[in-house]
Amino acid sequence: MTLELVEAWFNKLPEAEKDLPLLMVERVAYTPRQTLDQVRRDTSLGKSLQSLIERGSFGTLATDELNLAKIRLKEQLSRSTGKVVELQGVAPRVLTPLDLISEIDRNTPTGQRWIKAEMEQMQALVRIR
Amino acid sequence: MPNLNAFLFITPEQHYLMYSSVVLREIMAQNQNVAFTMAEAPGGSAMPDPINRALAEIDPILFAGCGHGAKDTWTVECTTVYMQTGDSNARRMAGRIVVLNSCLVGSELGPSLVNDMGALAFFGSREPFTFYVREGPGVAYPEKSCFYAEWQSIDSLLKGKTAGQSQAERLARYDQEIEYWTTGAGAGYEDSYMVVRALRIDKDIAVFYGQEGVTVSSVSGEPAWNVMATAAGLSPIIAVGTAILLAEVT
Repeated sequence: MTLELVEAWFNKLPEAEKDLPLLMVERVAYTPRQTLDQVRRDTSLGKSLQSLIERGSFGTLATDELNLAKIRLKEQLSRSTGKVVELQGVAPRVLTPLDLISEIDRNTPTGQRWIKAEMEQMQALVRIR
Repeated sequence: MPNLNAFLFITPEQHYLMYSSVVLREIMAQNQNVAFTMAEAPGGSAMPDPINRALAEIDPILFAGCGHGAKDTWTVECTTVYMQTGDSNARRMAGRIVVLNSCLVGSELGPSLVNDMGALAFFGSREPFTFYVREGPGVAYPEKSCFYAEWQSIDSLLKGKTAGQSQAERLARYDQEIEYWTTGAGAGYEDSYMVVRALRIDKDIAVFYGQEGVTVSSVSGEPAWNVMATAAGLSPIIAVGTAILLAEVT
């Protein structure tokens, strides 16, 4: 993958995603903007990050990927103003962003669904071409 | 054998269900056809007795509605239980295609309807259905997005697609909505992040059971005619010929 292709990938990402951690190398997370910078400077780190993009992967260890998904969820939910509703049981469950962060921290079934959705979205973002 | 081209829609409104019902009504309105008999049990009419009267009157091939649920239970307006695994109302689903926008019913009730009660097909969710809320029901696109994807099965069925095709189009619509909020025109929306995650959760739990080749209609193509009337104080559900009569109980 050339620098041009990494730039094209970066430009297709939603603005809100460009400064969120997305790729992990040796247990350190990097945003797409940091990744582009490293690739432009042709560093060894840039090559590792570029390799992740080529492989459509966002990390090297499953546990790292899980932790990265949690970090991203919490960071974005802390800025959200909406709520979500679950059509569950005899009454709806209305969950604020803070409720969702709590569900994620406690690893509840709801929290696990959000983490899974986050990991799917991260994979989709890395694979944007 | 239930009637082809006859459809019953259950659209409760309380307990956040209006968010789902308004989108289902949009799809119903877009698909009216002279050949169809469409009946709706809206709001306070979405209760067991009116629903069963409508089932007896028009004997519809398609039974669709939203409600809160558990693994073995589907509820209607004000969380009134309508159907539980193996009960008499579950037996009324024999020969029909059943589409329920509800939590959890896809894990036990849905499979039982197909495997034990004789339903032709079932569309539902095996875990809690999740949707984004900030504005009121039907006001803005972010609140409707999950329901456009989930009710795509109805749009497809009413356009003459088979159940299997409708399930495929339902899943494809989820992908379209995700793309819209990720890289499309909706990407700039401040809470697009939450909408996308809710869509991914709902797609992941969207299940289908039954015969893939069945259809609800003997016609296909674009709507040819439409009549929609709203009447207050009439009996809760009346299907008159090919017209839709939306009757609100006041």
